[in-house]
Amino acid sequence: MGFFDRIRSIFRRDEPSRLAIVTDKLVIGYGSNIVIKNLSFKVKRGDIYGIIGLSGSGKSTILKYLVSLLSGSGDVRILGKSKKKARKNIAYSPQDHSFFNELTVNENIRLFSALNSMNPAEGLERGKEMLKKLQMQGMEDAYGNQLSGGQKKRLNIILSILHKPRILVLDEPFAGLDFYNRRILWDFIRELKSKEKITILLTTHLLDEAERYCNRILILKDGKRFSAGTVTEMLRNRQIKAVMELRFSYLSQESEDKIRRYSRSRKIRLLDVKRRYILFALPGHQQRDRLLEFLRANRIKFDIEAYRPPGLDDLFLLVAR
Amino acid sequence: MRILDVIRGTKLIEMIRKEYYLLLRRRKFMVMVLALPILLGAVFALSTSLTSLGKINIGICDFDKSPQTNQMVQSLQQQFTVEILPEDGCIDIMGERIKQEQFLLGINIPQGFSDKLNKLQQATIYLYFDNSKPQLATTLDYLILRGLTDYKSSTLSGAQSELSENIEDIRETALTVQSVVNASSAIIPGPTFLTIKQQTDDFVDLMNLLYEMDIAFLADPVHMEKRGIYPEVNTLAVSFAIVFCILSLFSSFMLCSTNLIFDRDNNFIIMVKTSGSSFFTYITSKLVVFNGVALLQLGLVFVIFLAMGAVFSIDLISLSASFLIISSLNILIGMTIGLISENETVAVLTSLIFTLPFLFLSGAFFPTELFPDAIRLVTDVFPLNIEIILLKKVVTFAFPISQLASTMNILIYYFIFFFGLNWFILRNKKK
Repeated sequence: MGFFDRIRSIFRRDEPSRLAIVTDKLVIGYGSNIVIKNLSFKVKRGDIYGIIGLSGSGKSTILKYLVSLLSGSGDVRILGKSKKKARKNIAYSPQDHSFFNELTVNENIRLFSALNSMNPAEGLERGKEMLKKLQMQGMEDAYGNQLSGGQKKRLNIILSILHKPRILVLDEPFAGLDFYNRRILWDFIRELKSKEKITILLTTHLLDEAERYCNRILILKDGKRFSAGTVTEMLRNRQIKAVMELRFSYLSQESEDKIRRYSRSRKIRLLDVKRRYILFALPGHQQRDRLLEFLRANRIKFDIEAYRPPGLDDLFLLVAR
Repeated sequence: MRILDVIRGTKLIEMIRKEYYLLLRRRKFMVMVLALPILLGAVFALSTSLTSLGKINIGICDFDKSPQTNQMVQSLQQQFTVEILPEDGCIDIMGERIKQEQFLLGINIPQGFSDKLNKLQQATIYLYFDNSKPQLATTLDYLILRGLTDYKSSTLSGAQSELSENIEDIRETALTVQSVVNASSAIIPGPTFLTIKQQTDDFVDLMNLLYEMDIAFLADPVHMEKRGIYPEVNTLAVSFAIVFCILSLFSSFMLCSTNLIFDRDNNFIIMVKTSGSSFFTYITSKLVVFNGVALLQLGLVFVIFLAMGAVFSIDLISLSASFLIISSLNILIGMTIGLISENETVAVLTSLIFTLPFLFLSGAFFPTELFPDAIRLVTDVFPLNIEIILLKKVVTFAFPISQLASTMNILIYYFIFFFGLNWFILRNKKK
């Protein structure tokens, strides 16, 4: 690569040096059961990248593949290197805790420091700092089984980042946590991103929090990429500019069929249909007025429950349909 | 309501159905449930159906060389392969050939053996055996006893007929004395006197024979006395070797397999893998720790045997090396069990499945020397069997390490194999 190419590439957003993870046509499975089918995605350095999808869509499978717990086919570059060469730079924190309840917090920190080729004394120092940040100071001598569920999750993450990896892979770090504990963890993750420049890749079922805190999101459906990018990008790609919730005083099957036919012809999507309720995804604001006119013209009585900008949860309903 | 439930039996049926499905669908569990009786039955049947007696070689030193000893040798020849050794240095040659495993047993028939039998006294033969193999000696003792049953019966029936004849003589003598006394009670002529004297002497001899007859002779005319070919070997020390090897096997299988599952359940194996750490280090750490545990066990068993009077003859370097290889191999097999078991229950069951055939084929309970040839091919390279042989050599004969190479090498090959196997499974295991 010539000098000018290099200068030019710095300003290009997907230049390799700006990417933490690049995958191309990944196929991953458990024996004959193929879970991930031809999946390609890119994670930019310093991003908090969320992977969402229904249970069984292959979220954890991707993470396990990236940290070499599973094998598969396709191309993967992590920080521009092969998985094997980048292994020291990528840390993994599984959904269940990975420490020993029979050891104290500090004993676990010592063990995991050594595991990551770190001087245990340095590890303890860093561990102390991390414990403080995660509001666990003074718990150094507590045994693993004396920690609460939230503290266990926090310790799990501390143990995986002792050696200052450049990428942190978290498998459902918020599962089973209350709002307060989730908030502590999110603050910590954001601090890791901003202060330590660690790229975070995580899976979650918490859509509103993912939308709020993740820079980019990958939505999986049946092991394939359904959508990826920022929430705004994904909504734009799916042509969803607004959502409207209507509650009907009565909705006959005939009326519902009429609405379905009309929506199809106007690129309006029905995200959720219940007995007297429909959630519409609208490609533009004009479609709203036309839809309402159509309903009135057909003497279908309704109330507008909400008309609002779309969010990740609305997009997710498309996956679930 | 509860009574109605009990009468209907719905809950019971559903619970039974659940157990049935669980049994059927947990395949490894089911395999073990079926494999255990099949394996145990097969191993037990094979290990107890000893080789044909004709393949048991016996060396005999016959210092008596009488028709009676010939008869005894013939009786043994009908069942075993018997070789009569030359008299010169017979016992030494016999001992040497037992050490070289050319004979499984040696029999020394001492001079005067037949005389004793003729005098209705219990005669002794000496059985020479490898006293570092107590279970072999016990079995051979039984087999020889069985082999000599016919001979002993014939000896006893011979004695019985001799006694009957003599009793007949006594009756005749008594009758003669009675008739002579009746015919001429006043004067007894010379020839008659001589006849009476002869018969009276016979009567006295017979009475002496009966008087001196050994009561033990009636119970067991030929007594067998066992003599080890290794006078320096202490049976308790031999037992120590067997006990420690079995203990190490049991505890390593159980401890290491469940320990590995504990690590797996705590995601530690995943963390080792994702951290880029080597499984070589992981396996080595297990070896170090569990060898420490085994050392503690060795010490405890050692002290107990010392208190019981065991006398050890030990080369410390050989003992250390043997202990390390025996314990390490058992640890690695235990780890393999843990790696192939889905949970602790399955691991314990699998350990049992591995342990029981190990015990049967180890020679600890049945002498492997008497197994059929096909089984011997297996037992000769069976880890526990070799472990026991190795430790026996160390604690009873004080073999220097240079002389243990042939035995130790087999265990080293096993060690390398299981180390590699564990490393491979750990590296490729999905969970």
